[in-house]
Amino acid sequence: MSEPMLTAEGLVKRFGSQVVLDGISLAVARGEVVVVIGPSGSGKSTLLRCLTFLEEPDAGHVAVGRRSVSAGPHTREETGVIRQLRQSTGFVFQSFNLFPHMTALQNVMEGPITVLGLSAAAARERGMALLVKVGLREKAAVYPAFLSGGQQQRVAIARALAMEPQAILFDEPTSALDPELVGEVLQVMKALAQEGMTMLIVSHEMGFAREVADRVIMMDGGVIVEEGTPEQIFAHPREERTRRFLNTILTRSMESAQGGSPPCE
Amino acid sequence: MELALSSLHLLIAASAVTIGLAVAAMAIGLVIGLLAAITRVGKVPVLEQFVRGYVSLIRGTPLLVQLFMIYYGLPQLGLPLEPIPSGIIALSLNVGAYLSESFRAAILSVPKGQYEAGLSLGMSYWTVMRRIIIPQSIRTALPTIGNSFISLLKDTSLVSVITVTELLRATTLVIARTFQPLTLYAEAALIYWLLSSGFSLLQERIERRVSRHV
Ligand SMILES: Nc1ncnc2c1ncn2[C@@H]1O[C@H](COP(=O)(O)OP(=O)(O)OP(=O)(O)O)[C@@H](O)[C@H]1O
Ligand SMILES: [Mg+2]
Repeated sequence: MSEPMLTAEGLVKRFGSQVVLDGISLAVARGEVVVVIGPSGSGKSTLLRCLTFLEEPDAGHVAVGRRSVSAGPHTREETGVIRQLRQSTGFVFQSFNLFPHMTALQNVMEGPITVLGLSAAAARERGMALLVKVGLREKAAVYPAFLSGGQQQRVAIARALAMEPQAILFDEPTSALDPELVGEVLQVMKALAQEGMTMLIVSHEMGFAREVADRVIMMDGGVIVEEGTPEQIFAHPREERTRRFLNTILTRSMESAQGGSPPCE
Repeated sequence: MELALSSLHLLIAASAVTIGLAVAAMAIGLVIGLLAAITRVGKVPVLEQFVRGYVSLIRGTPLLVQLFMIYYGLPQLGLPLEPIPSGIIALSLNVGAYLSESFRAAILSVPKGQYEAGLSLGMSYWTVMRRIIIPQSIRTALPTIGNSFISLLKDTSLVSVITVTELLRATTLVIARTFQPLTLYAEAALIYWLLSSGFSLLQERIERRVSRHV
């Protein structure tokens, strides 16, 4: 793998006296797909949110491409850099967070128009192309309330892509979905990975991780417990904590759905 | 009966003034209310304190006193105002304060994820406000905006005391000539009631249209 596209150095985040990120460092190479796993409360979401300063880290340093910012307080100039950094780092939320007062297409056009300054015509063209790409051409004029969860998440991915980001962060993109809708979203993410998109994904979809991830990171208690290829982590975990966690995931997925992720269309 | 009919067209003409006052005050009040709410939610320094004071003052004093302050009080400061502008200013400031509270509640009810989705696209806080939060808040606030308007429509009757010939003052003028208070006040009441009901219907329609997708 070549030069890092996204790096974090010594990220620390505390909520009150609770240390949620305990000096995390990580580098994601251009085109690399990294899946983050770990028990609830281990700090996975906080890590992703700190990487785009949706959560302000207490210490540490984040760089995406050529842009880099250290933990605050921020000067006016740094605030601008943070905005650029967010622009070049897509974020896909567990709960989609589509704009309910805009159609699917308007959701995708919003960033290009207000942030990138594209003309409405150019944004429309880009938006339509992306909706086609995520398989939602015929839903362009539909409001989010009338889309299934899987469709909403695909619009959200198109919205992130519309900014032509250098990397995309996914925070449990399928865990709010009904089991039968998980596949369509993973399918889109897989296609992105194959196109060489740099991706950092919090997900417990083991089948997906095995197939798509270049690297799996196991987090617990605000630190990286171990990392390696999917094969290393899933088949030969070195750490007891990883083994225990994988066991609970396995039991849980066997209890809910019989078998892995559902087939895609 | 004849009196009722002959006076009716006078009252209907005067109710145009009532509607005009209400619509003008509402338009200005909406702008005041929205700006005041944004100032408070956005924690704009100094202005925020000022807005707090304004809202508290308006909510804590009778509209009639506010009206007198503007119509009789301002001339003492060398700012004489005609009755109609005085009335519109008093009503706007009054409804604006109440609307600012509705807008503020509506803005605060927009989920945090909406801000985050906007910010994560690289928007500034104010762009998120303008494009994402405010449009959703206005939809949320629509029912309260409608109710404020209906109250405002009735509150315009207070302006009759500073010699604006709106519906109520027109009614009293006719009564002064005809000595038929029961008939005429009943007519005035009927017109207020019809106007309120009409606007309520309109409000329901707008809400239904707008809430289709939210
Ligand atoms: N805004 C906040 N204020 C206070 N505590 C918080 C806040 N956000 C997160 N935490 C705490 O930080 C810890 C880590 O939370 P985080 O959401 O990062 O975990 P996670 O690994 O994403 O868990 P999950 O798998 O449940 O999503 C938790 O104990 C949580 O309660
Ligand atoms: Mg989480």
